[in-house]
Amino acid sequence: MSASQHLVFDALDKIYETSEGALSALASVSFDVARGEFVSIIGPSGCGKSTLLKITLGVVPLSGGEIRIDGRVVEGPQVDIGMVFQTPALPPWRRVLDNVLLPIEVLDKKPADYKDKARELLALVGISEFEGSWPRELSGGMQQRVAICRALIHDPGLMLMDEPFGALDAMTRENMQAELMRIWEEAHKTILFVTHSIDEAVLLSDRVIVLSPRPGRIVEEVTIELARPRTAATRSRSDFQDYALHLRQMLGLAEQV
Amino acid sequence: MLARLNQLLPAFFLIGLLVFWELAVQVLGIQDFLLPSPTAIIEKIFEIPGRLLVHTWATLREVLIGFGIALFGGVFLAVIISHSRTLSRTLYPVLVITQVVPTIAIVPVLTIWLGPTDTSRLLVVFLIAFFPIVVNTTAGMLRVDEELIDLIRGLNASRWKIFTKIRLPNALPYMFTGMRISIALSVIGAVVAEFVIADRGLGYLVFSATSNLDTVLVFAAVTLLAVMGIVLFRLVLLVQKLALPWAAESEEGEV
Repeated sequence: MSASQHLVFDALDKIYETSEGALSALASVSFDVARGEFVSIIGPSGCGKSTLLKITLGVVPLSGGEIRIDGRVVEGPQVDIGMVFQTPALPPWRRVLDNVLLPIEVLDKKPADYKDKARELLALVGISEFEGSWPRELSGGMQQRVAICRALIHDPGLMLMDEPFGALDAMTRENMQAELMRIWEEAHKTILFVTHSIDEAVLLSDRVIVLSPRPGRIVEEVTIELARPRTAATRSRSDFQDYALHLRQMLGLAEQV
Repeated sequence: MLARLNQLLPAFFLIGLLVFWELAVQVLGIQDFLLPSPTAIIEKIFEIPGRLLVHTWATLREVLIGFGIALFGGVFLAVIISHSRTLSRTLYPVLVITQVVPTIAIVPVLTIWLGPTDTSRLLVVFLIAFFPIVVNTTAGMLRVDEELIDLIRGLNASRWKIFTKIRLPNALPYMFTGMRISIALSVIGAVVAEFVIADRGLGYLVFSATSNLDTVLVFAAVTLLAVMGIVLFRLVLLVQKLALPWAAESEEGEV
């Protein structure tokens, strides 16, 4: 097994049965992700990006093909995954620290054993002083930071992020991107990242996978060879812009004003 | 300043209404048995406090016990309904029927079945008051963040765990909304029951005083019922505030 085969998507099909007949969401999607790699998936709305993540998480069944993690075929929920959605999805009745500890309770482990770890994570994203706050007292960006801590608390090898910064304002978004890169470099996680933003995909990723409109097929895989660490200044580099333009062309956006 | 005025406005309006009522009765010389003045009603309450207290306590007891049964029964039914689609499809029509049939029409029948007992009265309170709790609590158990459910399921959570960790706490604010409606309905339920099957209670008092044309006493009893309803409603709000400090504060209704 080579390093590039940590996570393997092998001819993935997803067909939804609807009242208007079968709806194909994903069509023979195949790609590999190496351990520790940051891979983004971009594509138009409804191309099955989110479905792909939910299948990987094990909460949506696939219609054909298989997913393998370290050679083992994935069936049902995968505990070794941290999930972050576009909405923070923080239960409002749990204080910040308890929200971070939610997966620990669900996994029937002792929350007390993970309190220090939770505090470390909150410190990592810079919101230590809010551990006793209710979610409603936090801004959208801070709530999403809590959601990221929650995804990391049980130390999963793989993180799935479904447009995690899509609901944030532009400035918060750039801050969060920088923080995510820092976390990724410190924690050595494999990240599968769905986004609508071409710039975000280029800035964060080792590799970008472009999906076609429904049914989602892989149009192209682009390896992003920008030097790390990447910063805000990376955006103004000419090779960054070349990547972005290339992806726009792939998505059929290049000719638009 | 303006906000303060806004807060006081309902009180001013209420006082204005009472003053208008008092003046209208005095100036027009309306007789007590048609419409007693507010002061006459208050006088009546302080004239026979002991007797009214006995009746108030009888009603309050029925309201509290009936409401308690409606709360537990309602939440229990909500759990069952939200748990299974089949059960919900089977149960819901029956629950709706209990609501569209005017309970007051079947109270005499209940008396035939169960006699003029506490049980019949509490059953009437339950029938009138449980529905808002069922409907709201069920909505709260089903209206959960789907992504949160996915996240928990992704951690291999059992249905029981999803229920205790997510659905149940999520339903609490909804349950309190139901309770606010239900506590007011419980008072109505107790009065309806006492109209037909009681020898004490404020509902009984209203009924018997009406047949004696003792309108002042009717209004005295109605006033006590109104006070009881408002106090109980505010009590539910207070409990909600203390029990659910995490819920947004804009949600509460004002009385």
